Amino acid sequence: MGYLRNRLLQAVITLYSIITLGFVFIRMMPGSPSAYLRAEIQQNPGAYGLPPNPTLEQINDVMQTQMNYTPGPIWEKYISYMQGAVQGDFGTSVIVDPGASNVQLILEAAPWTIFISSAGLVYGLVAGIVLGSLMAYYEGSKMDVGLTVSMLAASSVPYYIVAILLLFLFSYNLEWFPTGGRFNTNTTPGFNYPFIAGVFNHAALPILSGITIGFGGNALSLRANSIRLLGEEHIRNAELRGLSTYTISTRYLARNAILPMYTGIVLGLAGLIGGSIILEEIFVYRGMGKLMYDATVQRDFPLMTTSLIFTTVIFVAGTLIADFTYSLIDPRAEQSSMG
Amino acid sequence: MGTGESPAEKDDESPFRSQSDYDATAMDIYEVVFGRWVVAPLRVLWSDYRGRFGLLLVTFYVLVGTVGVVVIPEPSVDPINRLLSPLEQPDLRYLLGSDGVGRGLLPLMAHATPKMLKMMLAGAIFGNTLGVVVGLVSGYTGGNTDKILMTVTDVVASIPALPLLLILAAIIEPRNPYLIGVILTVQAWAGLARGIRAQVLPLRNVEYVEASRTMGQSTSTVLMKQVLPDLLPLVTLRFMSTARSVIFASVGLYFLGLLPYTSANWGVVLNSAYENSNILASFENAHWLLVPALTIAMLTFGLTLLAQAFDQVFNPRVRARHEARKADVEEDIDETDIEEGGVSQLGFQQ
Repeated sequence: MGYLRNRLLQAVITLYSIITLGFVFIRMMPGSPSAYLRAEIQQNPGAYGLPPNPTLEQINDVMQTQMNYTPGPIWEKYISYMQGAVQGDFGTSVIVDPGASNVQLILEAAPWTIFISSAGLVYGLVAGIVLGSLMAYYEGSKMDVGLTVSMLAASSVPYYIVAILLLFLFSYNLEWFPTGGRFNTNTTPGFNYPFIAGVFNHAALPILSGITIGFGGNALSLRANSIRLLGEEHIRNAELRGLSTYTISTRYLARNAILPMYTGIVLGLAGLIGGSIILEEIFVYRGMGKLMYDATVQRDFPLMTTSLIFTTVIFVAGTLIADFTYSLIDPRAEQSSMG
Repeated sequence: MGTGESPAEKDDESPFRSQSDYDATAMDIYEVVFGRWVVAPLRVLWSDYRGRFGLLLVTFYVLVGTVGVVVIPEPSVDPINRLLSPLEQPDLRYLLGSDGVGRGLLPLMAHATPKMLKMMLAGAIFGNTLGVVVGLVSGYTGGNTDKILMTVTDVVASIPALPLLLILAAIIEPRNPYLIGVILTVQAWAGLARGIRAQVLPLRNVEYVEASRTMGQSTSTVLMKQVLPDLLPLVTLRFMSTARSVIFASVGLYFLGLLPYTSANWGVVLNSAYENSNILASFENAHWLLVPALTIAMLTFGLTLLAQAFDQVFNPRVRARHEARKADVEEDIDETDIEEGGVSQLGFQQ
């Protein structure tokens, strides 16, 4: 179990480092957030519980509480920050939603992002596997060359350009899909058909753009894996034993060809969640990415760093799950890690 | 045992004492080096349809970024020529049409190119150098150095790139294209470092590496002369893909308006088209959206193709086939040239 113990230790080190990095980032934030906050308070004192035309002292009071200003040397602040982090308290948002808990804000937005990201990931994988195996089967044919070139093109067009073009075509001109939002505002949220249909209708284009992040690369790597395997002895042996083509392609070929892609799935998910920052801004889809974008534009550093920590946690957890389950899928891995 | 021969005679016959019958001039050596490292790879690239197309595309962008910016006038606001379609006016500035404030799209695209190329170059060089150094040292040294470096690498690799870049861009607010390139690859080196280390580990105990170590060569010499050449394929591939990811990230961040800008970038133009929803609502002005989109996509496509084709250059079997073909050609040339005293390169090919 030495390997798994090392992986666990590595995950703890990673989380500790990223949380510390978050502290550094919050300390490093330039003067702009406080200036932004001051302007906000002066423009809209009511939102901060102040009378119209507040005095300078009143503003300073509010700013102190808003910015979480605690006096004391830096290491004391670090310890209190780490104590909070261990208890899952990463402070409050300063500007985007003043006073709201960062973790609360992210947890509210996360399901939407995880929904579109995982859907994009699954469809991207399926499309990649189907196309990749087709290309490998007809290797060298015109179809293979054509598909390879289109997959190369697909993987080299940035996903946000695909998103904008999809929006341009299907939302603004053909009007098949809405131009933004998460659900139909005329429906009542809950378990009813109009609401759920609206959710899928609104998610369709973000998911479609998410598919393009990974599927070209998936198809090409599956093609390469399969072609390499086709030349191997055990496939030849299986053919000589007179096994059916179906058995060979599913049990001998597909399994081994998909295997190297397994750990890449987690990376794909991380890429999708990171990419959601741009996608959700394009589709005005209020998920985690949009939250991160708003936090960045308004210089809400506590919320930004908490988002960064949160996405890192998702990634680290995903990698751990992939590592721990890999031996279930590939028994050879367990033997080598044991030995 | 040849006891009757004098030692001097024996020396002359020994292959270790024989001297080359002609000296290679500096020019000849350059010629061979140039042939081996520039001409031969280019020929292999050119023989592959992907390499040919990729090479043409990337060269085109480099030309636009160097010569094009001199020829093509700077973009300027012109309220009369708003939203021209491509080829609507017989003017170089409006060859690709114009945007909502009458700036020609061709000048906008062309004058954003040099900055983009600088970013790509800085990012690819920084990211790859860091990745190679960390991977080499970690894999070759082993022990505690390896453990510490790999822990750092794993931590860096587990941070999602785009959220980190957002924060760094907000804190640093970079304007210099080289600095932007470096920031955008601040996380990308980790993947390469892992890959390089994995390749170095088996190389550490290969005979020729062990031999140079035994001969007392310094670690840096061994790494540079014996180990690094084997890693060249991976490094070249990663050079392309890092350059590509710099384009992805920088255009994305410019599109979001999260990088401060002084001159127009492809992403900024894309954003200004996206913000005008009345533009999006009709096919008539699609060029405002399509021109920057295609500009970005063509360059990334070119880099992808080139990376694919470089695989052929480094694939020894393809190289061998190419060498064989070259040798055939050279034999023909030698036969005709030898009487005229032509210089044969075979003299010092070893």
